[in-house]
Amino acid sequence: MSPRARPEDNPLREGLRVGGASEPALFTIFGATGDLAQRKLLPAIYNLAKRGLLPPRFGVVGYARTDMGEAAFRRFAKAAIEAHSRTPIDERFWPAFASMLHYHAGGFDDASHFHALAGTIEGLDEDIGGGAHRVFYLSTPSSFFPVIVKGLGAAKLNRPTDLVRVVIEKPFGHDLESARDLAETVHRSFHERQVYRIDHYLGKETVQNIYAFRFANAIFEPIWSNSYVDHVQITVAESLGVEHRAAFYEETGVVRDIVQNHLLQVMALVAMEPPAAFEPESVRDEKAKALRATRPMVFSDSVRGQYGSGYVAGEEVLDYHQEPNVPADSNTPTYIAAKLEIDNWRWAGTPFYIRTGKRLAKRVTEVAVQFKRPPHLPFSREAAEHLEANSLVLRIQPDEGISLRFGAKAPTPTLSIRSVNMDFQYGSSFLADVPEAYETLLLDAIRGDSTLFTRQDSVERSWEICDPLIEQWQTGQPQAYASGSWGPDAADELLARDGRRWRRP
Amino acid sequence: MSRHQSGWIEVSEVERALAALRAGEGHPSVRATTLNLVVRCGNAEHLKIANRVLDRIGSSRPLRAMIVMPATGTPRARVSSDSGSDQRHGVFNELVELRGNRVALPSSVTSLLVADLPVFLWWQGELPPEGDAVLEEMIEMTTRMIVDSDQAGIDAVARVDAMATGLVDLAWVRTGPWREAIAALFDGRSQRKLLDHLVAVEVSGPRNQSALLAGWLRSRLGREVGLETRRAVRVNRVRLICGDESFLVERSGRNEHGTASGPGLAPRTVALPSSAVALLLAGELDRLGAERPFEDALAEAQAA
Repeated sequence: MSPRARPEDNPLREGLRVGGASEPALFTIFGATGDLAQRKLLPAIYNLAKRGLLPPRFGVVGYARTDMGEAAFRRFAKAAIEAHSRTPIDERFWPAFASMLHYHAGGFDDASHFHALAGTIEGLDEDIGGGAHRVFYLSTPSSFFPVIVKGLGAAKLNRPTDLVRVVIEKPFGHDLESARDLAETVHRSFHERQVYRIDHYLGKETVQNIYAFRFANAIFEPIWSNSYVDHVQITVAESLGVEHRAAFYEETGVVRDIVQNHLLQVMALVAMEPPAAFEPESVRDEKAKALRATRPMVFSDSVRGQYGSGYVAGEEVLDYHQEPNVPADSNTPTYIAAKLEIDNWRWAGTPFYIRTGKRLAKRVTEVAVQFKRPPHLPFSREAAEHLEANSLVLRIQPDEGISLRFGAKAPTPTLSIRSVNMDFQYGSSFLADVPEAYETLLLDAIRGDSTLFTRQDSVERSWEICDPLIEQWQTGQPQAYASGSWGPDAADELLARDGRRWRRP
Repeated sequence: MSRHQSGWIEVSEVERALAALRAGEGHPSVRATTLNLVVRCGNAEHLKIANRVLDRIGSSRPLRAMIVMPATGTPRARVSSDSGSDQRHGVFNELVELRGNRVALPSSVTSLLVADLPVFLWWQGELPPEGDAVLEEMIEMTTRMIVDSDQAGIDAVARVDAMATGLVDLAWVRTGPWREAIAALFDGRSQRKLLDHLVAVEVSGPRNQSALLAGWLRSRLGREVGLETRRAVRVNRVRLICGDESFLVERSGRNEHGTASGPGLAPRTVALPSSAVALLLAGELDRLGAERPFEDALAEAQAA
């Protein structure tokens, strides 16, 4: 590998506007013919290239068991991009992009295939001038992760450590023990700083906007604590059912599928202390601290549900048990509502209520910060009887934005105070095309910025929070809820016993 | 896209007329506006370009635009608003066309700026001579000024640069993809060494863009770099002579792509887009403040 200088030492780079990667890179996709590669990875790489954000010297190596040549892989990639890219293929640009795509057929459990891959990568590295960063993206079923990282290590594709990164898709284990086992296997070949655990939720612009909202505005952070916040509600609602993924879902359930990763990560963003700097370890340290302070979930503060038949957006849908490949006696939860408590100075006594489920009334992800009521209202009871406490809602999807609810005098002859919403819609102020989460995260992986990726200590702590409940839910039956509703009645009772209620998203 | 327009009215009636347009279109009480854009037009051709550009960028950046064109008499205004393609969000743009006595125009503009939002001034065509009070007044209210040295000339732009806090030159912006491609040639250590021997650059392209590219190299390297220009309507080729070796970035025919090559480097494809004014301008509306490399390059280009 030829020696490289750091790009910041290149005097011509100073002040260039590009926000993309500058160092040469080779991006290898394991499972390059799989569903994720087709739907997300190849389109994301194409859009990054179109936006001029990839390094000038860049190559993609598709790695899969399917026997095909380079030309066939390029045709395959074009079809995938045509089908799934957020922007159409530009035929004038395509030849230049296609020339970056390469293919290497091989299995995952044969060391000789990895040595051959090493040869392919060395050759490509030489072609693009040497010294390329190497990103290995494991877009395969998680059962192949151990054997792939082992193969990479054996073929010395894990070096040099400052240039090589491995990107791992969730699930990062299925409980604490398996997460530790996986980490141990991965760490035999890669240092933790080389491991990028991807959670596409964290690449969403509006999730990243939580950082900006909290830490770029002086007016909210002083009231962002148990002194002013009554409680927080986090909702991740899906309107779809398990579709064709019942086999996977039966193994997973709602806690492993959503809570352990997306939901706890969003909660950590809301609860974390301000980092000293927006750089990987500072941010991830603070998120890890917030998770460490979070009590493990308990049976008595949680509700599980399983969807029954019903109507979603006017369409009649099946009971979970009638979905293909779902056993008749399945007790897999498709819904959870739970109360989480964070034992630290900022949040002690202010619960975080979470709920997520399938086949709910609509698809929505939001964080609602419910403030305490004023200590005294100097108005008559009649004047303020319709006044709600202030709330701030961070809408993550689909109608991205921020709403602040406050009281205002209604234009009536007698004093009457009503709640009104001040609504900031993300799409109204920034109308430019929003990149897909995978574009953001892939670019970060290529650049070597791990801020938005999950560190092993957070993964383990998340399992520690979830495992007790998963264990307790092995037996017994979830409560049925009608498809198209907001979950079982018990979820309402969970908040009602604390004198609170769920907001309607 | 729906556009509604008033007749010619007094400047003092503009806000009321815009409110009436909003109400008439059933817009919600909350609206998004992210910037003020003042477009100075010197002639009918500028006006045509301004309207075309605003049509294109309006749907991506909610703004209040003021098209300012000198004429005789007390300034009069014509207002319009359009809801673009995003009516769901209640996003719409406001356009105020102002015509009147040149010296009275800056105060009209000041009275119509949306409070607290940045003010961009896009000055089309040539710049007025030194000491022009109208220009000074306009710069005074401006957060960022956008000019085009391909139209105004390097010297005039350098003069304004000394007055404006955040100036950008569209000719400089056009050289952006070329600067990216050139910089990338020198990321490798052995190529970096050759950069120390850069003595001259040959550019096939417009005179001012060529001068800015050479000025950029001089300012980044802190030493003299010769320039040889072959005139063309857009930059097509840049050759960097480093002692006995040379590096080349060259457009392929009429394409928006080209190749970059040099000693020890396999030729590779690079993007060399020639963006329309609307796209260039839209990009500049997302930035605030001065751009140091441009100021340095401009100073070097003017000194040469």
